[in-house]
Amino acid sequence: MLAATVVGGISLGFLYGLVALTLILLVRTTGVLNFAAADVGMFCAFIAFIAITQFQMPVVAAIALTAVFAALLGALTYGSIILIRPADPLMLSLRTLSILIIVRALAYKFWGANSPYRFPRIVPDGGILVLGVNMNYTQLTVIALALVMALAVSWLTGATRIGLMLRAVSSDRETAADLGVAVIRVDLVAWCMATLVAGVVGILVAQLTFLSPDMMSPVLLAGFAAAQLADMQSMRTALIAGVALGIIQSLSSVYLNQPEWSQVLSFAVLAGGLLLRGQLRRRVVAT
Amino acid sequence: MSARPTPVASSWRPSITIPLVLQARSGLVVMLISLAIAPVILSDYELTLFATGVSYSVAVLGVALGFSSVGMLTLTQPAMMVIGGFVALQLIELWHFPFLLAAVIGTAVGMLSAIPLGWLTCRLDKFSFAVLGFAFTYLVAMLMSSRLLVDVTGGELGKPFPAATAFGLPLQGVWGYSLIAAVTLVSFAVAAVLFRSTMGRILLVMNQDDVVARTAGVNTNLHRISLTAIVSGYGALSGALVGQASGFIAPPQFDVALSISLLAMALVGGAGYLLGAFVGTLILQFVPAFLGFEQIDREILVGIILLFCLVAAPNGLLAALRHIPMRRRP
Amino acid sequence: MTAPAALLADAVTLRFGALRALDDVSISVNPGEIVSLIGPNGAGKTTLLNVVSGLLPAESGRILIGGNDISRDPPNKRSLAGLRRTFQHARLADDLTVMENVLIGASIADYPGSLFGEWLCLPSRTAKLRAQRDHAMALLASLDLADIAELHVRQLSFGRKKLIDLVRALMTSPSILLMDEPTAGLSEAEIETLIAVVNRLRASTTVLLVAHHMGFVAKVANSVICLVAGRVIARGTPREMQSDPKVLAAYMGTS
Repeated sequence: MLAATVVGGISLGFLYGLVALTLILLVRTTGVLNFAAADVGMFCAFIAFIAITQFQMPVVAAIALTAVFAALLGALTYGSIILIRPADPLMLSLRTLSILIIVRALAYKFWGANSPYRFPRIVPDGGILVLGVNMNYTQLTVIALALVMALAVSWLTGATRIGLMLRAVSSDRETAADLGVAVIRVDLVAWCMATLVAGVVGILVAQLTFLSPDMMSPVLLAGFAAAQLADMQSMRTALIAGVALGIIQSLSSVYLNQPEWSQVLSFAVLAGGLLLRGQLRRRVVAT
Repeated sequence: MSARPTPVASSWRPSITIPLVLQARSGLVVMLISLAIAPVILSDYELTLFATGVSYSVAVLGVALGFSSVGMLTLTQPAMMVIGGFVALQLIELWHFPFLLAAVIGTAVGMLSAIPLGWLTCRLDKFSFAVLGFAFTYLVAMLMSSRLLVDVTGGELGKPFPAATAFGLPLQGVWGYSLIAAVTLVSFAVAAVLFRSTMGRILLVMNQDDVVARTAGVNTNLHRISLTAIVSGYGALSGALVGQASGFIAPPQFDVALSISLLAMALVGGAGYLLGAFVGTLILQFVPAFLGFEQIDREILVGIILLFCLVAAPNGLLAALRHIPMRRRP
Repeated sequence: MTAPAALLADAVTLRFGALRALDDVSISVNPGEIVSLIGPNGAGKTTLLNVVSGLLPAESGRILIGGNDISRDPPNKRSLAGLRRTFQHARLADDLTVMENVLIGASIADYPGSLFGEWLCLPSRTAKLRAQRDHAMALLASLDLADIAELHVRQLSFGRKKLIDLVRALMTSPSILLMDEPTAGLSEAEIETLIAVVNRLRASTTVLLVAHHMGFVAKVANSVICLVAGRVIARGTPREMQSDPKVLAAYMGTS
């Protein structure tokens, strides 16, 4: 029972970590805290759902379509938030709030009436025993995919030319531009990547739970938490933090009888974690 | 177009540097006139909608005060509204307190409960605190809707909020509205007085340069905590007013979506202006309800208007109307 | 029994990771004295000022004002005890006027109690605010800056900004004043004015300043302390320091 709970927590936690990954990616390149990070994924999940159920597309085709849609959505979001009129990071982050509102409201308008929906099984039911613990295929897929995506993002940012440019832009946008880096193109890559990852997270969350317009609320919150705990810097720390939060949530919801106490605990953990991280940062005054 | 990339500033301070004290008096006058005209031109039902909007504007004012003075992103306001509203409700229902007294006590309770949050503001950077604010609102909304407190809050369905009475008679219609309008106007005036004083100047300095403020003798932590308490007090008062205006109060109203909407209203109107909170609430809350938009279409509208404002008029509509040049920090 | 030193830094040590920013630094300044800290860049002079004003905590050692241990006090408490400072880069609010910036330094010793008087517009409070303005104008006048009182700070030269920073710090008539590179960015004429002002302060204020301009130091300081890599390597009068071999080596560099 304990092991199963922990496994459940780990798989959910990886999803939190992935959301945190996209947040950090966008903060480090464009400086924007993307409040809509998770919910664009929700919208993509709905697109996939419509493709599979209403248009009877085969799963692979639907996923491909969703990927294209996610990239386009990422570009659109980038355009309407940053390109349209540059501003300081706080203002840009507030603009993403409006995207969050719009995306959620549209999802409610189109599909809210009959929610929650049961997302078609992409992964077969059943499970296997791993190290003596029973894990179902969905959880395994989530963990595997999450690891793959995390590795892919870190490979992309670490080893490729685009990745190099991303890191250059990350550390100093103006100098990067002076050195000839096409900052806008790099930004677009970052935003499309972030939305793609969000889309995958959205589909996986729908698999693990249900599909509904507000399904990403806890995911967004935990993703934020994980990203903040990683100081918006290290993607690896964010993943670890996400998994930790997932495990804590899972354990507390099972072993604490009331779901409310589980939420209180999550809050306490978050507050404690943020405070601790604040303490660890040394305050240096430059005069 | 050879566009320079958006510089990622190392400081996350807002570009708004217009102090709240500007235009306070003319703002109050415009509010007074609008509040006075409303019962004349609106039908009874429309007046109820207007009263609800006016009640929300008090919470929005709190958010605007926090944002314009020290750049605080207040996402905890709905939690404060729920606390203030239900404390007032309990006092009225159980011990027959008059509405005003119950509202004042609800406000005080809200302010006290905000002190730990204020302490956290001192320890955390703005974005960490914003994230924590989301989590806090989520937590409180869940707690208030849960079985644990169903006796007090009526769970998800909420409870009816009894109308205020004067000399034993319930204040209905125009009289109920007048009570709300009066309290709101007074709370806005109090904000102007508070922030016009040395406290306002000190907050401005703290926001611009924390080190200068501290070495000049300012206890910045105490100020942050006090500011958080004041902002939350406005939220708690708003909760009681909303209950009074709409005749009932239910925890699910005060969710994370509301925390974003309140911030949106503060920004659209113009956080640097006293009147901004009022204007923003009217545009994003009252007008869509008045025009009969469905709830979901209203939210889409909020998102679109917010985006439009943040792009075209980052300092709010009032700033754009007055053609005040945006003072950007270098 | 001799009177306690106005300002005493006792065996202050501070490390940033492996770097010893301050290593067992002890400095004593007597009432009415003006002491200057000199040393090459990165020696820890500004760091020491930051520790004394409370912006950085020392790992070990104490800071005492007039015999009272203030090591654990936050910066605002030290300020209320009579310690004020100026900054290397002035740190003024660009979009406020000179007068508004200076008033920021005005005494808030009776705040927040004074807030009630303000909110009710009590005449005693209004009189107090007016007295603050007059005091500010008098200070500006003593530095020949009275005519720019209503100008916005962003229009001013760096040198003038530094002088206004000084006026802001002097608003509370501090018993101890810390000055960080007060002459950097000033014209020769402004430096002369500054020398006169600092010498006038001698009667009422104890000064610890960080400086590079040896001409300024010679005309103002009673004694000079040389810091190199976080350690005190020499103390003496300005004349003694100018010929001290250790000091010369520090500035010329050793091979």
